Amino acid sequence: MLTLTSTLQAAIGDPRRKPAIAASVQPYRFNVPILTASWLGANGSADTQLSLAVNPTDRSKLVAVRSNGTALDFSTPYPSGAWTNLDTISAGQGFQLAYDPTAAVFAVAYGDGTALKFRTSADGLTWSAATTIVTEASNIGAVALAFDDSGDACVFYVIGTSTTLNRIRRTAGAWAASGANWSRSSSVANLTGLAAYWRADYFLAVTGLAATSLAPTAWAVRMGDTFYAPNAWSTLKTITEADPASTLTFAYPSIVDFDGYAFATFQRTEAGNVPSQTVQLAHSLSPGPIGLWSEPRPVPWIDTTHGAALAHFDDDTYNLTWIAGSAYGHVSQHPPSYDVSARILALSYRLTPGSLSLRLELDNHDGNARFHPSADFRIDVGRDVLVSLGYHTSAGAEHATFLRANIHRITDQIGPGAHRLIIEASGPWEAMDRYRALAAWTAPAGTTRGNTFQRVAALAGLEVSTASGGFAPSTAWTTDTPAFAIAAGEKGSTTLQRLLTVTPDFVRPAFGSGGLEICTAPVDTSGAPIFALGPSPGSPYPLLDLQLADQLAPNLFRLQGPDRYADSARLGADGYVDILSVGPAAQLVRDLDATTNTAATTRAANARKRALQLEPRGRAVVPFHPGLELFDPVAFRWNLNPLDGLEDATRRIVGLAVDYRADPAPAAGAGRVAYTATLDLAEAAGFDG
Amino acid sequence: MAVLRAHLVSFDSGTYLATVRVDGSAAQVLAGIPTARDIAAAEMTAGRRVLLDTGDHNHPSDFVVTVVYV
Repeated sequence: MLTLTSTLQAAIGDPRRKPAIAASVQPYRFNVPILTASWLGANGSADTQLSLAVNPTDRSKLVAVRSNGTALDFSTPYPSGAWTNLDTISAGQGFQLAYDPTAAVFAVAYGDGTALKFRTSADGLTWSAATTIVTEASNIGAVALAFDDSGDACVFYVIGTSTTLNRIRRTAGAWAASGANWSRSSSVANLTGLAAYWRADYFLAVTGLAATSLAPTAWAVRMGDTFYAPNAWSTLKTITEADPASTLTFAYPSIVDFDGYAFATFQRTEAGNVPSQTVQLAHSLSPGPIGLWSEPRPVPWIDTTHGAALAHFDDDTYNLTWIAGSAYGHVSQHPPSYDVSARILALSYRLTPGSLSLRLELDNHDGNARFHPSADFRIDVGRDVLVSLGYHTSAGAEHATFLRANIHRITDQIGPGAHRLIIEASGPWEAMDRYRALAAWTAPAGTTRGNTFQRVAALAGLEVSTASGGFAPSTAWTTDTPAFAIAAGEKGSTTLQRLLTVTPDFVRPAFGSGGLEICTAPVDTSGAPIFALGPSPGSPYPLLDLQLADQLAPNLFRLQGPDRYADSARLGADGYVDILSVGPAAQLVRDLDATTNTAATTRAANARKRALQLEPRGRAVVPFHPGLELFDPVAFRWNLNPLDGLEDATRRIVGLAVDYRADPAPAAGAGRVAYTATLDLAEAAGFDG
Repeated sequence: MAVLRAHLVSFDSGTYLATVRVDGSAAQVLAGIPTARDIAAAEMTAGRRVLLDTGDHNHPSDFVVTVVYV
């Protein structure tokens, strides 16, 4: 349960309680920024590799550098500035443009034969003479450049297309004497592309072939500067990969930081039947800045064979991302969130361990509800809606429940005397339900259940967190290492559900962040809030309706392993109508990782308990309580006959529906506002081991 | 029970395990897939089409190549 202030707790039981509801539509998808595209312009027609950089204090200062055959050219401002030659290089040699915020200059590092060169420009028009940072024994291939926030820099470069990726640092204005090879040469068979940015550490996107398997791969990798030990390299994190028998390759990466997420583009070449060249875009997801990546998606508005360059600008007013490939530039503007609180007529949502649906009804009498009043932002499907719920108290509007969902439907409802905009949104499970894997994937041997779960969710663009404290999930997430594979076309939600089935854990939406949270339900119910029908000591919250039910349900679970099975049956001691009274209602669970008697027995019991724990056996309606979460225990007291004394029950929340409807005639006075929570209740004792 | 169409990429007649590319999976194959023993090894040539029964369990050892054709 969420911790509430004393004023908020008091408001729940106050007969004159006044709801505090806020909602905003945001240019995010489950809290990850969305990149859209607006045509920026063309600059020539040559199909070339580009690199972009922008002055972080002046969004109009966008500069591009390209390699057009043997010509290294710049365009300032891009795309309207004419291409002007900067240097002559060997065709195909790498380069990256970046901005040094300390010196307030643009800088480009590039390979010129065996020399690694460096130039700067304050305005992007007049460039310094080339400085040779280092000269190698053979030609330089891909090059990347990034600056920190104190004037130091690091250039990364590959010797040809070998496995040698050198870094050479500039510290206090002086370049190191020679490059130092990274520690991941043994992980790759060759390297074809590089890009970098700095955010406390250096983050790189790299393309090439994996060692041994020769699988074409795009990776992300981190080199320490602040949080990581200086010059220490992380392991390679796969952005995407293809098996060597495929006809796919990846090249020309670019990478930027946006709100702590890494966004990377790269060129994907399909050389087989229906040959194609597409720019692909992917973004990172936690854990870690580059730990997991979404499944790459095509960027259809850029026609090139040389990848697309990224640049990002963010100040208090503007938030822009440029994507440019060859001569064609596009810009993605990220507007501020659109607060629609003043238009809310009704809000409802329903949350279960496997679903979240949200409906927001807005006043649209002026026909403008979809449009931000001052920014170029329209409410569209695919955007997040973030709702905040609480009460007006003596401390002002206090919110405690924050729920993020993604819009899947917008309806403009027009009728006599009423014009409403209906926004329907859904949660991470529904997103996983819509997701279909576009490639098979086999978890590497030794991958934990939790990591497999996170990897599959990340492909769909969702983050997975684990609950803490008493809700921390079982060790199944960190010690189980089930073999796991998905085939193309499989539904994401189904695959995740299979990972859950034999654990004692659950998943609920991570409220504010919009992803999934793995949790268990603590046995301890001592802190349960008490809702009472009529006066009852120690129960500050009113109970509006309570239903407690018994019903038939599965009562025998057989877990089939590879060479053994185990049964788990509901007993009368559970407080249920048991298998002997009602006959068997069996379910079969298959788990080829149950290779020991203990594992089979434990997992059969887990499957039985999960079914028991998720089975609603009652329902309560209470005034909205902003501290309640799925799997919280709740207590009820009632006393219908004074001669019987006080009766009570403790249950567990396994479904949570909230309904709010604004007063249709506020002038008529209070008492016409609906603001209730309907709780689906499971037997609390069912969670007791 | 999901039965998927795939192409055979390679086959190990010693272990009777196949590597297949499921239709729709341009980038990735599934490796180490048990193959029905009533299929003659000589019939398992790369490029042929196969039926893959995944059993809906996501466990690669529980997948079976049941048919080779074309």
